[in-house]
Amino acid sequence: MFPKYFVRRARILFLFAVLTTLSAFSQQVEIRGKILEESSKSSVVGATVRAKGHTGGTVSDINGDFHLKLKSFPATLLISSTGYKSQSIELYENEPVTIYLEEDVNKLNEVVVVGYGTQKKSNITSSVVKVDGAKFEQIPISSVDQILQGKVAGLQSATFSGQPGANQQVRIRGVGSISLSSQPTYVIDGIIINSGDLSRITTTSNVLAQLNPDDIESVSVLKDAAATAIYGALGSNGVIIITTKSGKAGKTKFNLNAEVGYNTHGPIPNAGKSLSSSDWLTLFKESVVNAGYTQAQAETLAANYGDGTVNTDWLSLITRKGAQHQYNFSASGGDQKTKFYISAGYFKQEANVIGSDLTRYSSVIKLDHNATKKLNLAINIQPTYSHENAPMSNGSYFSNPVMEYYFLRPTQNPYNADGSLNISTATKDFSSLFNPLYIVANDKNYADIFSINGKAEAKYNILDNLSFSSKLGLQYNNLEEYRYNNPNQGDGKSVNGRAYAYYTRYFLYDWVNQVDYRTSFTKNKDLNLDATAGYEALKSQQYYINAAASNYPTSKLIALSNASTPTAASASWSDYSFIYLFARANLSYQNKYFLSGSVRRDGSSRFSENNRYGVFPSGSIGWDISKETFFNPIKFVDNFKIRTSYGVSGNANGLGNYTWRQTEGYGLTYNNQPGGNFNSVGNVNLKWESGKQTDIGLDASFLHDRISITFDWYNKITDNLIYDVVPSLTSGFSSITKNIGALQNRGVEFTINVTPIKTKDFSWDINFNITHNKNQLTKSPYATDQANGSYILGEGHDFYEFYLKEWAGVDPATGNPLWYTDATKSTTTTNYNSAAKVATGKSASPKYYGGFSNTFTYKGVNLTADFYYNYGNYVQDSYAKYFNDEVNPSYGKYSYNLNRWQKAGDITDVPKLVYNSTNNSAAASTRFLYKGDYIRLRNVSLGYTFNHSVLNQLHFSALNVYVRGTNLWTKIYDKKIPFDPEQNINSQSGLNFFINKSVTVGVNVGL
Amino acid sequence: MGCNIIIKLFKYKVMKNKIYLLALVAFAFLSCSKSFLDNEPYTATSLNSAIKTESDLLVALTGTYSQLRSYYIYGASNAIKGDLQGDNTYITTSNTNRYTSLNTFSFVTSDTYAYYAWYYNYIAIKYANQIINSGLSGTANINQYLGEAYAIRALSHFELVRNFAHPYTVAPDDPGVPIIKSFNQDTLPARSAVKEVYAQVISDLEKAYSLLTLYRGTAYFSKYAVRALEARVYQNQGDWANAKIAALDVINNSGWTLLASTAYVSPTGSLGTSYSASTYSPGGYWSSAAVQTSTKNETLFEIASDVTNNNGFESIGSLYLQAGGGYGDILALGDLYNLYSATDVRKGLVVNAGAGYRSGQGGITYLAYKYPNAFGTSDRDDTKILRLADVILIAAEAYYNTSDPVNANLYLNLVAKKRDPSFAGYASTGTQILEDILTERRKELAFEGGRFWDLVRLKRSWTKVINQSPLKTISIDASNNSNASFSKTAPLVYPIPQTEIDANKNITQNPEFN
Repeated sequence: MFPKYFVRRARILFLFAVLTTLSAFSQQVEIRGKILEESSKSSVVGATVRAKGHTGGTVSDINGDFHLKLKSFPATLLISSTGYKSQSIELYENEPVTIYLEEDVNKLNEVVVVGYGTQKKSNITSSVVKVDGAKFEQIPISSVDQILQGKVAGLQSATFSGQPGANQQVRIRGVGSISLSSQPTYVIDGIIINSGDLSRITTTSNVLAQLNPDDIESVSVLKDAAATAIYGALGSNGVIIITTKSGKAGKTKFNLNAEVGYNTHGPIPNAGKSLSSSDWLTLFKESVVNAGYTQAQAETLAANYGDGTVNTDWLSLITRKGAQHQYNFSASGGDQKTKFYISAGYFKQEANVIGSDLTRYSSVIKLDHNATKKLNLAINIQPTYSHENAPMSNGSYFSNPVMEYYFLRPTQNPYNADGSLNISTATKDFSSLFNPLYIVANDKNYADIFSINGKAEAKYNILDNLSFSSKLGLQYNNLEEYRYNNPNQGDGKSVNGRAYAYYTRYFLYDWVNQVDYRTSFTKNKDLNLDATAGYEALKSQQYYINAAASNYPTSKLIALSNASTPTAASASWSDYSFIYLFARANLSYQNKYFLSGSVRRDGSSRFSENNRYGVFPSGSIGWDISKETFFNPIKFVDNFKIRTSYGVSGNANGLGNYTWRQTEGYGLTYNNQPGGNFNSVGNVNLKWESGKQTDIGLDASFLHDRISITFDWYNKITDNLIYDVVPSLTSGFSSITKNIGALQNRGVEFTINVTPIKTKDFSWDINFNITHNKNQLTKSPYATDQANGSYILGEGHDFYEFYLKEWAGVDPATGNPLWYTDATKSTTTTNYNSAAKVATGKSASPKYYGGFSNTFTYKGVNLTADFYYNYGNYVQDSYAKYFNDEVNPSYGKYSYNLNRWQKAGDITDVPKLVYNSTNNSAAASTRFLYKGDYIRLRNVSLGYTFNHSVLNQLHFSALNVYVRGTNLWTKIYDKKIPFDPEQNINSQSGLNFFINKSVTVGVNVGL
Repeated sequence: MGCNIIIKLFKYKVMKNKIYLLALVAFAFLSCSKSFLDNEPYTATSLNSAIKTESDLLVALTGTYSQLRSYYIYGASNAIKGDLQGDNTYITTSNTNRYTSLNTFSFVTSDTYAYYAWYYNYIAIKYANQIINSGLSGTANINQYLGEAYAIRALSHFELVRNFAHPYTVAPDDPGVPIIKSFNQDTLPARSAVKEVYAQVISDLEKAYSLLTLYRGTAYFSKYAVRALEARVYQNQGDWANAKIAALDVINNSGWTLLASTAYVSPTGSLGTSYSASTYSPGGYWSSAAVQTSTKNETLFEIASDVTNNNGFESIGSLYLQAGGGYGDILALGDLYNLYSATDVRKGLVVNAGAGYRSGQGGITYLAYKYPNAFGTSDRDDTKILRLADVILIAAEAYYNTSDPVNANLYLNLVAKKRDPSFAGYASTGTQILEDILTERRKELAFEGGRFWDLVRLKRSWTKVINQSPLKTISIDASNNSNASFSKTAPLVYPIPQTEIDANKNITQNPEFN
């Protein structure tokens, strides 16, 4: 029952077929058939159908239908299509035939997106990991970089804040720079983007949170130099290429998914829980007596801070069960000439901490049109709007509710007798700290973020094997940030209310022009060349406006216009630009030997003309041993490819746009007059940081892909590190940016996928990956070891190795804190100042980390559990002195203080509590260094996919329901650690928002 | 994009020879790369084109003054140090950890206050040198600006040498500080002798004095502000003949006068029972945060702060003030309070707040009230650097040291009787005159940072109160004449910052910290 259009079309086809084949065949029959995908039963468009022994053939149309003329029966039809296993079927008579194509699960035949192109996985000689889009769908997490955690060996991703839309710290193959950015470069659909946190007064915000993960087709993580060198100066910290979904020819497919759920707070270990009111007072009074006062004096002093009738559980007040919603709709389809994909998404996450949420409206319009046989035009536009409510969420702000949770005493009453919020400044109330409930209710901290990613592309096939393409990518980010501090309590009180309105616009364009050429040199197509060369120009411009004012007439209105005293007004721009020339050639012989090389020349506005250009070459070779004849007897091996690469890539990420220039700066004011000063010393000799990386890898699969492994060993040396060297301060500068120093990251990565059971109804898939990285500074900017915050900057040391005084415990006789005087640990002292800092050998970076996933499928039921593990690092409590030992007696305390020393002979690790103690017992030392080991169940989901009989009744093409848990379970190994061990990449506690533990249920409908 | 590649591409698309087209496109790309990569900054200009005109010079000079306002130098720390390390103030137990190393004389070589005193003064010197070495000259305005830059360079070298080196009166040949007269980022300068630094300071001040002709208000150096600074420098050297000449030049020729006592301090309101209930204001001169632009009262030179450009919570007032959100870490000592007679208006600047006023502090709380405008929505306190009363007392001290007790008492009483109209006046003889001058200096210049330097240059010993109640003290002894054991009980100089030691192999640390 074809519509008229198709009937007419079929007739034309018929006519065509008759005309073209008339001369070849004297007697012909026409057969008709339909090609469907085996799993989804959806039509396969564009599959090639030909009869064995005959020349010519046909392709399936938009409905998967095909017509083919045959001379006689029986005949053998050969059907092939990219992404499916080829099939042949025997036909004995002229009957309509339905052919089901099985998706090709052989991972080595996958096509992987690499820099400026794609490559068959089997031919790749560099270290690239592809993650399928399915992994990013329907996850209650706002950004793709966060979801990547545990999915790729060699990629470390730290979620340090539960603020939805928070920036994510990602390191590929270790920390690659000591003062510039170590974040990888992100590329979306071939366009290099501004990534990271572009906000200015919002504590944390992430550009990638503007991209709906459900719109992602795949992510490629480029790790070694052979893969990244084509990105030149953007490559040394790895490159993450995100490819968004596109339309596929065929019947228009609609997809709708909806999920709802809730978020609660992640783990807070017992050691870090708050004290009860009575315990808090007990410890307080005990410490006062220990300080030499009488019990009566202790009672009097304690009375200042509450009488024990109030016992506030601040945690329950500053956390909540936050709602989680996500709705995504997409439609895609088209024909051989024009394809489209459109989507719309709504994501709303209320974090577990009060006042924190993210609402995102995202959309995609993507069109692809073959204007002529040779000219293809494509355009995509992705407008997204987000509203992020982000209360201050790190340790610098007393208006941060999590910080207040730790700092406030349980004896403080959040409410007045009449139930209103308490903002009294009496000593027992909120004399210095703030009532977080009042602050969250009355202060405003939000960002409205509007962004458009867009791309227009034209591709012209000059010859069959030579094409030219030009694409212009645009990234527009518009951030409107607002902070309002109310006049009654908190940061705005002393100025009678204040507000900051910050506007930031980033506009980036990236114009890529490239020529792709491929050819075969020998007749039997044994030797193949695949070459790409191109030119790219990128420019990013930031524009910002700051306005601030204080002194509000009323607390009812927050707009800046109401305030009477303007305190800031400024606006300016900041630009950078790059120019790139790149070329790459891949040679393969018999799909057995592979040779690849690339070279790139980069120019950047971030360097003076002396060193503006850098050249970054790479080369790699691969050998698939399994293709050798001597390997044939080994039947259980499908593939066995060894590869090695070497290359140079660069880094200028995070370098100031104008750092190299020696300038007079302005914007200073004295006595209401404008001033200027010699503000930048500059350095015209500054050049790129360069990473030289060697990689040796193995890709193998066994037992018809039931087992596949990837192994990599790498050695990356980043040289010419850019670092702020300290000159004599008498120059009037405290730093001069120079190229000095080198870092080494060496490690191994191993990934294994196993399918232990695979039957008709049941399958079990396991994925395991593990990474070991060893970082060390091979050339220090300094002649001797230096403290770099809590870390050591010294040759042979890990960049994140803690450099602290060594804690020697508590003297059982006196309860005094003890430290070792030096690294020999032979002598202890009670004097903190006479203990030396020692290189602890303990690093903030994990020794091993990775992911472990299991997926069980039984008929329509699917159970997945993804674990993330982290082993061998140490985490420092950088706020310890406030919450331990009554050094700062008026603040809240960790419950671990209950283990304090009380009398001679007590064996404990908490010293005698001394009111206002000056013995530095809680000052930075290894005492507050905890093991960072943990295992977390990042994701567990149970889904049911309805079978075709149900779907046919409902007229759905797919229906799936699921329940998912995110971060539901965490195993923490150190009993003393007071907080979640997953912190910043530098493993220091930041009093950031707790991570979200989410439970969601959802449904996914395909039409 | 700058280059019309797309148009060219379009135009040549019809060409049959596609290879030719590609070559052309590639060529066009390359030809425009230079300007594409040259992004000029929007908030800065290239240094070598920055100071070319008189107005450029003024802008650079204004920027230099804004550096002086930094709270680590003349905005706050300089004035705080002189009282805290002397015997006027202490830090209360419950504090924000600011200035504690000064309170206890316990410095490590990485001390924050030492670091910034060093670094920020050298930044000011760097800026001043940009002006001095600009090559501009000719007009009265240009001379004025050059003169102010010389004065700033002198001020910073003077503060550096007395903070980081032994006193001139103890060891003029000891290492002083590097003298920097031009910018060079690669130089690793050694310390010049103390006397060489003083000679440079005097030379810069004389140069400034010869160049300055205009009065731009108290927020800027003027001819007589330079003379006042010179008097202070000579006072620190114990060069009384020159100190007298400089001081008298100011007193007789500047046109500056002291205010009547009621215009100086005129308290209103009360402290109330807690700082949130306080309505107290010292009134008069010390309540006004405005700079003088044409009048010439009391202040010869001050660092201006206003409602938008100020040190906020780090302002000097914030460290003293309990009310309005101040840290209030620094309290005055009862000893100081007790020096003022009931009829002395200056008693309104040291306020007895009673017991228990400051949470966690035992005993009576005395509050310093010279900086009441640290917060709020109007003009902020300026920090006084040079005042006429100081100069008059230098004159008195110079007369005393040049064996003229009559004039010594005369000048001393000019200040004392002005502040306390019922006071009969000092009439001591012999060494008591010096003690009277010192007491009067302590009373007049309290919370302005002078006390410590008086004690050091005169090699006195004193009891430093670390906490008033419960009483905790250390004794400080600056009496030793020998430079080797100058800082006998506690370091009386700052350590040279460790950062400088690490970066500059030619610099030597003070023996106190070796």
